[in-house]
Parts: sequence; structure tokens; C-alpha cells
Amino acid sequence: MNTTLEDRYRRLLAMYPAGHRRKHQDEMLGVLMTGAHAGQRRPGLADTANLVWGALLIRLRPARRGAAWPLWRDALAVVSLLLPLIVLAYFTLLNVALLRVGSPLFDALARSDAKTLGGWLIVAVLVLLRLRRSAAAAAAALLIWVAYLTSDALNWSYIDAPSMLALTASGLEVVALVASPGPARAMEIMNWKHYAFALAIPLGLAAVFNWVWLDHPAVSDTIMVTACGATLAGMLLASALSKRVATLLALPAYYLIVELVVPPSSIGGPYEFTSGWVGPLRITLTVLPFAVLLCVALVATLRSARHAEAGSREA
Amino acid sequence: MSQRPLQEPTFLILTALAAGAQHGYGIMTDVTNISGGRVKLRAGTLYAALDRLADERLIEVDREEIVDTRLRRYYRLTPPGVQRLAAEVERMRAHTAVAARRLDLLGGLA
Repeated sequence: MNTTLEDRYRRLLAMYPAGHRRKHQDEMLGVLMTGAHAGQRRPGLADTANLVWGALLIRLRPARRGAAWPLWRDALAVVSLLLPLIVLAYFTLLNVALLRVGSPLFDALARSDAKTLGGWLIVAVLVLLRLRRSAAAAAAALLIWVAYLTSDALNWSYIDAPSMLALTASGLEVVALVASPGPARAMEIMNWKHYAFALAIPLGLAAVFNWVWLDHPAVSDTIMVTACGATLAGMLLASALSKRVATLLALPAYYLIVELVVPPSSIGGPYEFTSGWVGPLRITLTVLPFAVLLCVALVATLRSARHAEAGSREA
Repeated sequence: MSQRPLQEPTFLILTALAAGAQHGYGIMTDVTNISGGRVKLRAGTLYAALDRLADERLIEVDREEIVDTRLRRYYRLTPPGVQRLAAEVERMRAHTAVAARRLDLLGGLA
């Protein structure tokens, strides 16, 4: 059998992911064959090593390979900018309601929230200054602080919706800042209407909580849950970017909704109001979103593997 | 603004494309020329870089041609790519200006 130089290059290019081969294989073969000297029958050692290295580089950044990745990256950038602003807007106004109640427990809750809000304020300022890395470091410190507060105050066994909301929000902020170009990119994408919409929702929710919840908690909770659900649903039906932003924000929003829907239960002790869920319900509600995420990741991995296999057969 | 400095091959690829749209082999030879033969890109490095730059929207496909039954894809700089290259040039210019002034000073003292 007479194996040509092109066949040998083609074998080397088989190391690349199927998606990359579909996009670049013919082009790369053209470049390699143009660069080959007359009479060359085998790929040179340097070219071989370089192709192996290139394939390794491409395979080490699989998350960027999908056509949808730029949109996800933009969505993460938008989340990195908006999340600190939303958290500050919502919880600052919310704490006004806690202070208005005037009970020592609610005062203590508001003061405890204020420390965490200080962390969010630092993240928000760094984000607005477009200092992505500093903001990511501050968000990571905030995540550690929130985890410490949760473990210290509630000993993990009483982990509740507010704790999970704080943990997932700070965790999401870290991921958004690390995995995206950050706030600078978000500021390119967003206009004043986006900012107005993003801030109107949490401020509206906090206002409802502030002025309706004291007298009519059930009405307040219903309005807030409906508004959260409607906003996320509306975003899911809008542009591809807002759909992805809504998907990312769905995790903390889930814990916010659960906090409102599942009433505090009486387990006694000083954490009566914050340890809303006990027993199997607590475990189920805590784990549910992560179980869903795991299933989605498994299905996506299987689909991607099947796709890659089909691509290899095609090539 | 906190942008990481460009790596040399990336800088040279963007510089090659600043002259106009080029195909893969054209970029390789241009990079060799620009660097005075010091940097020789190979296909694996080139296409890993082109893929990443396209992901970052600094470059995009200009057109495709078939020459001698081979596909040639031409790439060009995007407006953000032009800005990124300009920012890098400005950063390097500022550094080299300081270095030149200090070398002058050193020469003056010697």
C-alpha cells in the first residue's frame, strides 16, 4: 500500500476533536502540504510534535469548542456585572423591613446581612471599575466568608434557603468572573434599558417585601414568587443571551423562591426563623438543583461523545 | 484597563492580519518575515491560536477559496482585534520609551 504524506498528516490530524477537524482539517492539510518540501514522504519531527501539542491545547479547552460558547461567555459576563448590583439593591432595601420590625432577632439578622452586604459592595465597586481579577478575588473571599458564617452559625446540619442563596450567589459570581471576559465585556453588550430592567426587578421585589410583607406576608410572598417566575420565564422566551442569563440566575433564584414558599418550621432554639426546612424536605430541596445540574451535565456529555463519535466516523 | 499582555505569536499573528486578510500559510510566512526569521509558526500552534482568537472575536473569517483543490480560508482582524492590537502597541511603546530613556541616562553616566 502506498501511503502518501497527506495520509500521514491526516492520521496526525485525527488527534484533534471532531468539531475542530470538521472546521479546520482541509485548511490545515493545505498549509502542511504547501509547507512540505519536494519529495517529502513523512511529516517532520518538529511538525509532528507541534501537531500533537496543538491537539492537546485544543482538547484542554473543551468548553470553548461549542458554537454556543461565546454566548455563554457573554451571559457569564453580564451576570458578573449584574449579580452584585441585584444583590445590593434587593438586600439593602429588604433589610430596611427587618429593621422596621424592631425585634432584637430581626435587628440581629439585618446586622448579620450587613456584613455580607459589605463584601458584595466591595465586589460591586471592583466590577464597576472593570477590575475583573480583583473582583474575582473579592468574590472568592466573600464565598469563603459566607461558607464560614453558614458552617459557624448553623453547623451545616441546619443549612437553609437563605444560606444556600448566599452560597450559590457568591459562587456564581466567582465562576462568572473567572470564566468570562468580565464586566468590561458586559458594559459593551448592555444599554441603559438592560440596567434599568435588571435593577427594577429586585428593587420592586424588595419594595413589595418592605411594605406588604409586614401586614400581609402571604400576599407579599405570592407577588414575589410570581414576579421572580414571570421574569425568568420572560427572559427564557427573549433573546438567546437573556435565555442564558436567566438560566445562570435560576440557581440563586430557586433558593430565593424556596425561602418564600417553604414556611419556617418550629425546630426551637435561636435559629427558629432561619432554619426553615427540616428532615427529608430540607435535604430534597437543597440537593434538587444540583441533582438536576448533574443530570443535565451527564446528558450533555453523552450527547457530545455521540456527536464526536459520529464526526470521527464521518472523517 | 487590566488586559493581559499578548503572547509573542499572538501579537505577530494580529500584526500579520493588520496588513489585510490572509490565509493560514500566508500568516505563517508573514510572521517569519516580521520577526526577521526568529519566530516560525507551525500549523498546530497557528490553528490553536487562530481558533482562540476567533473565540475571543479578535479575528474572523474573511472569505474562502479553493486553490489547486485545497481550501484556503482567509482571516481578518475584527474592530475589537484592531483595538486590542493598538492597545498592545501602546503598552509596548510606553515600556520601550521608559527603557530607552533609562538607557540614555545610563549612557550619559558611563
